[in-house]
Amino acid sequence: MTLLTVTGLVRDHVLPRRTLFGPAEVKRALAGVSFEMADGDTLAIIGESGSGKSTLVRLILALDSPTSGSVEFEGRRVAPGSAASLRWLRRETGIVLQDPYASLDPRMPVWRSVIEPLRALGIDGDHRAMVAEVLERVGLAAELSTRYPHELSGGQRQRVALARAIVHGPKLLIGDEPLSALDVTVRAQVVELLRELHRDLGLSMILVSHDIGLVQHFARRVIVMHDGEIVEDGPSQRVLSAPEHEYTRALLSAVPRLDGRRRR
Amino acid sequence: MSLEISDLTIRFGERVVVDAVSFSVAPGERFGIIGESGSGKSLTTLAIPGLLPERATWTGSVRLDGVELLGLAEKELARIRGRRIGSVFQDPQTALNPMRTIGNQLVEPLLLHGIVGRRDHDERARQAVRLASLVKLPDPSRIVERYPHQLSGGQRQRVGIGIALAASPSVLLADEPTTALDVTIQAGILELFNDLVSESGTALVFVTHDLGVLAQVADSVLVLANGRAVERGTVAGILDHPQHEVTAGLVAAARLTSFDARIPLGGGDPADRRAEPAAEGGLS
Repeated sequence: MTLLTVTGLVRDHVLPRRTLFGPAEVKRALAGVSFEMADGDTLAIIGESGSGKSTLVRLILALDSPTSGSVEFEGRRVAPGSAASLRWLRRETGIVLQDPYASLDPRMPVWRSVIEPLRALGIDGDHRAMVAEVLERVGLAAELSTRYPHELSGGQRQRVALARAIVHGPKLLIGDEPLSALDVTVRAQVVELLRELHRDLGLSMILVSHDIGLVQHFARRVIVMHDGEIVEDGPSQRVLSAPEHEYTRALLSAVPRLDGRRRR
Repeated sequence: MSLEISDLTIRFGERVVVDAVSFSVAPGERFGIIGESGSGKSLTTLAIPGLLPERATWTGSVRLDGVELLGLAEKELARIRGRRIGSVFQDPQTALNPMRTIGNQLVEPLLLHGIVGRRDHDERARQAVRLASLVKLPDPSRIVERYPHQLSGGQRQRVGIGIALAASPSVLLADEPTTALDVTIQAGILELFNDLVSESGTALVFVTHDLGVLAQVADSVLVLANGRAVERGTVAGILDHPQHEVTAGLVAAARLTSFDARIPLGGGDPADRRAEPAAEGGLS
């Protein structure tokens, strides 16, 4: 079953004019990106800065309009609009960003941050019970629910951000560099948590990252982006062990390895 | 020994943030300091050229070629910074002055320490081009006329390294110098550090949170946790046989999250995957 269909996405940014006459310069952030994602899959989108991976995420979440092309979620067209017209999409998706500090309101205790999407999206049910359940699911002790973000560690904050992203029971979780700001021991725990969420809840996941290690340890499928295009797309096992595109090879050989060291 | 640190202890008020840390680095040695956030790795490095925040107090000893640095007057420290100790910082964007040309910034340490006269324009230009080529910037004679915003992130970090090495210091301190860079750019910068250290014989102190980076750029390593030195040894040694539980935890976590071409990937249980040996298949 197809969850997401991305067809021929192009996104141009018109740059400020440098001269009075002549055409303004156009930067093509996405140059015709197409792929389909199956329900229940784990997909990593990998690329370096400027590859277009964040633009792609913004378009999938209807935070931006494409210059051309389309995004469909379960066959429904995704396009920017009013909060009410996007409520269905918000119910089906959740997002976790790189910096949990930036995605949590410093004046709200944990439980209020987590309950907020339930209220905003008009979800039925016992909100308090749903918050308690999701906090347990992400491995946060119940007594932390009255704490404020600054009273938590970085790993705990990212767990709160995760709880907030999944409390309303979305089908698709999108993470934009969700591990980059975390220490390595905390990263390992959060990766494990993501695996559990995928396994237990059947959540589909898109993780956008520059971190190839994360792909290897998490995603079934990987899309490699470079200069606004998909240069390689396939099962992570195949792409990472036998990369076909020259850029993927360059990227893989640049990753610092724990083993196979000493390239002096 | 170029650099000898003994019993370095740093406090903020009553709180001990670096606790009796000792290590030494020989000329030409590539020395790594690794730890997670709050481990004290950056403060330890800042203490060496006397750049600790004002509210910090310290005890212990930092000796550079036999001379005690801790407690030196600011005026004397200023004579050492940039001349005997070069520093490279994490973010080359903020470390460079946006209003001055690359060439002017590269030769600044030479002017500051009176190695080249301010009015000696020919020598300044020659040194600028020499330093630009030293750090392998493209088209050195043209790039010295440019400004930081006209360079890429990797090129700006090369300028930062050129400035740090301008006066041929005996110690080069680098605190997470590649953390802000893409991996393909990072690989080139790490290679540059390795080349420069083996050519110049300067002692390198490289601070990082990333064991993969450490493995590329250091021979020996000090592991810090909560302000304490928990383990020291060769990089190969701590990766293969970590002695302290903190080190073992770091290595295990890094193996779980970093790219390792020896293991197959995707789906399944990580425990199963670790056990399987695999071919490297066309990566190198």
